[in-house]
Amino acid sequence: MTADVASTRDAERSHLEMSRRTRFRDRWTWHRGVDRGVSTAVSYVLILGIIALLGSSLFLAIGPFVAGQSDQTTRSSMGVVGNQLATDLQAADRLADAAGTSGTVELRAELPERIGGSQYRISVTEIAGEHRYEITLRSIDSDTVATVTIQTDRPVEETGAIAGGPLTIEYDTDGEMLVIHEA
Amino acid sequence: MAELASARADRGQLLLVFAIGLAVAFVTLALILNAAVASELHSSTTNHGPAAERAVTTYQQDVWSGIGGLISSANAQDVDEIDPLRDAVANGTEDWNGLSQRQYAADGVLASVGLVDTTTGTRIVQDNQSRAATNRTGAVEWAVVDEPARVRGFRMNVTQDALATEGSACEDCFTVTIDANATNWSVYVYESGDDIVIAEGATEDTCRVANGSARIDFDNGSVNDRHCSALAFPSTVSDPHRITFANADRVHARYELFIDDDVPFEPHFAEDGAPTLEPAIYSATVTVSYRSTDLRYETELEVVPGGTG
Repeated sequence: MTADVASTRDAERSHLEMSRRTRFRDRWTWHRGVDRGVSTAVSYVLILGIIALLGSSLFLAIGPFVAGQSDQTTRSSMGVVGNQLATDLQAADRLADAAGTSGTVELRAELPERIGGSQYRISVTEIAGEHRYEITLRSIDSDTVATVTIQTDRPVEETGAIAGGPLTIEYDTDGEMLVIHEA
Repeated sequence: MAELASARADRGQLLLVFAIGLAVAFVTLALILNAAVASELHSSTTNHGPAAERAVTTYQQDVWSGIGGLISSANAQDVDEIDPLRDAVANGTEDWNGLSQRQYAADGVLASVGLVDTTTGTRIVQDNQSRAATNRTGAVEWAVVDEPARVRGFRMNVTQDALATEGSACEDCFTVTIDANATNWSVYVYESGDDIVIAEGATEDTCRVANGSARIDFDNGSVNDRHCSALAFPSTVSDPHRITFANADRVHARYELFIDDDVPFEPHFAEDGAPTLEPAIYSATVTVSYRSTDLRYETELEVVPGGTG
């Protein structure tokens, strides 16, 4: 009797165990087959969307930033080159003082042929005031412009658009003025 | 499973595209910054204008002091004719040119100087410190430079021996009058106690020295090598002018000056004794030429010893 009861209990326990394992396997199988597939697709779409959004924003922000930096750098470099030409003009002006009207002054200004990867043009125009001039450098590709103002003791011949690069500043003793031309 | 693998690969491609885009943007930025640095570097290494100007100015100053020294050295010779002085300046200039050419050639510069002409003049000198500043005949008011002429190197050593004592109008004081373009500047020299006083008539500026003698330099406006405001003449004094002495018996002086006139009014001067006339080179005109890779500079320069280039 006692042995029968024990055997029955073991059988019930075994059955319960089997039943629990079966339920657990069924639930696992259901989860793998349905829940996991949905999550992957959603997360895939979500990640794609986020990456696309971030990437587009990044490019939209970086594009103008790079373009702005390029423009600013070109303008800054043109300012440097313009000031270089201005110092050379003023040096030639002082040398013309020392040389007098019978003297000769020819100063070579070693300007770069390209600024920021672009060719450029130089013009000199007179502005208000005695012997005050504006040196304008204009990039051909990007249309970036930089200006430098100088004052000299003697006139400087106004020039339209000289191609950027090595220049010669010459003292014209007949007109008693400084003339800039391509070297 | 195949679809999932494909999706993962696509996602990777998208990231790769963005990564490449980002890399391109960074490289572009680096290139832009590099262009800026390169541009400034180019300017700093090729901006030779001011440096060339300094080099020419230095060379011209060298010419000025070198040829000026040659003229002074030639004028120190005790000769009666002008030709030996001219030859000395010409030969000296040639030698100086050879030396400077070799020196500058080492730096790749062709620098040369050539003598164009010399301006002959006269050295007026009184060497006797114990003699009054009168002319040959003892006249106390006389014109040292009678006709307007350019004057340089006017220096005078005076002692306290015969100086007039300070008075209200200084009528008895030894007076040097410089007459340029009808404008006169008068300088009075007198004693005040133990001091020698140098005073300018118009501005009444004075300067004093106490050691019994004064070395007056009318060229650089100094007394005993110190600036004297009484000798700060306007710049127009550099024009041709006359120089007269008044109350010349009230000073004992040694003096010297050079004028660009080689025929001064001779009756004032003597062959020996004081004051005397000696031939001299007043100035020299030279061509200065300087050629380097960045600069071609030529000019004609009149070198006047004692002046500024």
